[in-house]
Amino acid sequence: MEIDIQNGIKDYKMEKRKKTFFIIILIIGIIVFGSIAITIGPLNITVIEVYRVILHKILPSFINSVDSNIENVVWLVRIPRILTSLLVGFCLAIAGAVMQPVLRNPMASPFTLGISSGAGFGAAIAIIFGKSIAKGSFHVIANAFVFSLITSFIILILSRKKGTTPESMILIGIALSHLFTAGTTVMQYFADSWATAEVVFWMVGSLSKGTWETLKYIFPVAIICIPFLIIKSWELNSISAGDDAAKSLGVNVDKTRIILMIVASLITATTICFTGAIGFIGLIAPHITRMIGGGDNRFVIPAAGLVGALLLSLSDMIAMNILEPIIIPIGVMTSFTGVPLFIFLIMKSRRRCL
Amino acid sequence: MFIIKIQIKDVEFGYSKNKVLDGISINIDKGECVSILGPNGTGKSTLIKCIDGLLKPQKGTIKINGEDVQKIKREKLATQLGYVAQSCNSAFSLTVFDMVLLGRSPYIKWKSSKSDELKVFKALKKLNIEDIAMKNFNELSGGQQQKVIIARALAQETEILLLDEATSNLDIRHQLEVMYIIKKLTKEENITAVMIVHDLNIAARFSDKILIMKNGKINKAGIPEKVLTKENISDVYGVEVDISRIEKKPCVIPLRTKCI
Repeated sequence: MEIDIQNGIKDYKMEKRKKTFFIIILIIGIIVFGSIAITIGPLNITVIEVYRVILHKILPSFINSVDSNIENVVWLVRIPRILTSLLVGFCLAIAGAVMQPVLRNPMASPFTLGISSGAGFGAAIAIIFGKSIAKGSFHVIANAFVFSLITSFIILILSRKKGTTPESMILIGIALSHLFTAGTTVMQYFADSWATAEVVFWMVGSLSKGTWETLKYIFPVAIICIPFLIIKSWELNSISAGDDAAKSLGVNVDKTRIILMIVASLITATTICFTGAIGFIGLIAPHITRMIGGGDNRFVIPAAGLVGALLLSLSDMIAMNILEPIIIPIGVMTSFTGVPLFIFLIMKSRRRCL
Repeated sequence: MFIIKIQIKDVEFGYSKNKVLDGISINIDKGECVSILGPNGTGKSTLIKCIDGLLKPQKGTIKINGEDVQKIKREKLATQLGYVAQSCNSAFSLTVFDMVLLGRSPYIKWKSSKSDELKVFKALKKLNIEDIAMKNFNELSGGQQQKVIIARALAQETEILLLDEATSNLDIRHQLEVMYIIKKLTKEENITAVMIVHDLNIAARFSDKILIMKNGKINKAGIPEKVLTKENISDVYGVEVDISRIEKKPCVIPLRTKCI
C-alpha cells in the first residue's frame, strides 16, 4: 500500500511539473516575442539601434543615445504599446478565466455578460453627446469605465434577489448586453456620421492608446487584483464542483461569487475603457489553457493570463504590420488569429474540459 | 454509552405552502449507520440538506455535538460534516486527484501540504480507485464519479458523513463495496453515517437503524428487523412484498403494487 501511494504521489508531482513547465515556456515565449516585436515596425530602425535606446534608458551614463527621433519611436511608441497589449491580454484573459468557473458556464466572458456593451454605451454617450463624467482627454475613457461597472453592479444587485445563482447572472447579463447595444445603436442612428464612425471605431477596439500614461492606470489595478484572484483560485475549484458541494467544503459561495465578480469586472472595466471592446480574448484564452493543461484553476488563472498576453500582443503585431501602413483593428485581428487556433484545439483536444 | 451526535427536533421546512418536512424529531448516535428510506418526494434529500445546513428549517433545530447547525460557521461545519450529493457534474474538469484534494479545503487555504496529498491517496485507496487518480473527472463513468465524490468526503475527515443516494449510480458489486467501506468506517473509526438508500435490501444489510419517511414525517424508525415488515412497506410504498431472512437480515421480495 505504501509503495502504491508513493508511486501515485510521484505521478501527481510529474503532472504538476508539466504544468509549471508550460507556464515557464509561456513566460520565455513572451520575453522572446517581446524582444523581437520591438524591432519590427513601420519605421526602419535596426535591431542594434532599438537595443541601444533601451540600454541608454536603463544606464544613461554608460550608453549614449541614438537619434532622438528613433529614441521617441522606440521608447514612447513601441515599448508602451507592446507592454499595453501584454498587460491588457493578461488582464482580460484572467477576468474571463475567473468568470467562467464563478458562473459555472463556459460561455461567460466580459462580452457575454454585457460589460463590454455597457462600456460601449458609455463611450458612445461621450463621443456623440460630449457628455461625460470627466473632462479633457479622459472623457470617453471615464464614461466607458463607469458604465461597464454600472452594468456589472446591475447584474449583481438584480441576481442577488434571485439568490445570486449563475443562471440569473448570465441571463441578466445577456439581457443588459442587448439593451446597451440597442441604446448605442439608437444614438448612432441620430448622430453625425463622423461620431458614428468614431463609436464604431471604439467598439472594434484599438491599442493605439497604449502609452506609458495608460499603463500607469492599468498596472496598479492589475497588481492588486490579480494576486487576489490567484489566491482565490482554490475556492474557484470548489465552486465549479457545484454550490452545495462548495458550501459543504466550507466555502461561503454567495460572498465569494460576488467578490470575485466585482474584482473581475473591475479589471475588465479598467482595461477595456482604454482599449475598446476587445473582450473576445477573455473567452478563448482560458479555454485554450484548459484544453492544454486541464481545469485546475490554480494553474488556469495564471496560465490563461499568459496565453492571453501572448495572443493579444501577437495579434497586435500582425495587425500593425501585415497591411502596412494600414493598421487592422486589434479586435478584428484577435478574432482572425484566435478563432482558427481555438477551433483547431476544440477539434484536436482529447480532454473533455467542458 | 451512546453519545448523541445529531439531534433533530421538531424540524419543519417548506417551499411556499406545501410542507416538505413536517415535524421531524430524531436522535442519531455516534458511530451509527443510519439509512433513510421512503418513496420519492417525501423530503429525504431535504432533511439531509437541513442537517448539512444548506437549507434552513423554518421551525425546529438541528444540533451537531450539541451545537445548532445554523450557528456554526461553514468553514467549521466542513470539518464536522461531509456531504455526498445525489449527482455531481463539474462544469470544468479537474483530475480525480484534484477533485478529492478539494476535500482538504477546510484545512488548506491555498497550498496543499504533503500530508494532504497523502490523505488524498489514502482516501482513493480506500475506494480502490487510486489507478484513476490522474484521469479527468468528467471522463469517468457515473459510478466512478460517485466513488470519487465519496473519496472526497473521506478526505474531508469528518465525524459525520451524509450520503444522498450515494450508491444509486453504482452496479451491484460497487454498491456492496461502497456500503462495506461506509459500514467499516462507522465501526472502526466511530464515524456517524446518514444515508438515503433506495434499495431496501442494501439498507437492511448494512444499517444499524432505518428511518422510513412518508409525507414529510418519520413514519417508522428502528433496527431493520423491526422496521422492514410487510405491513410497514405496504403502508409506506403501497407495495405488497414477501419478507424472508437471509443471514439473519430481512430480505424484501417485491410481489405487486397494491390495488387502490
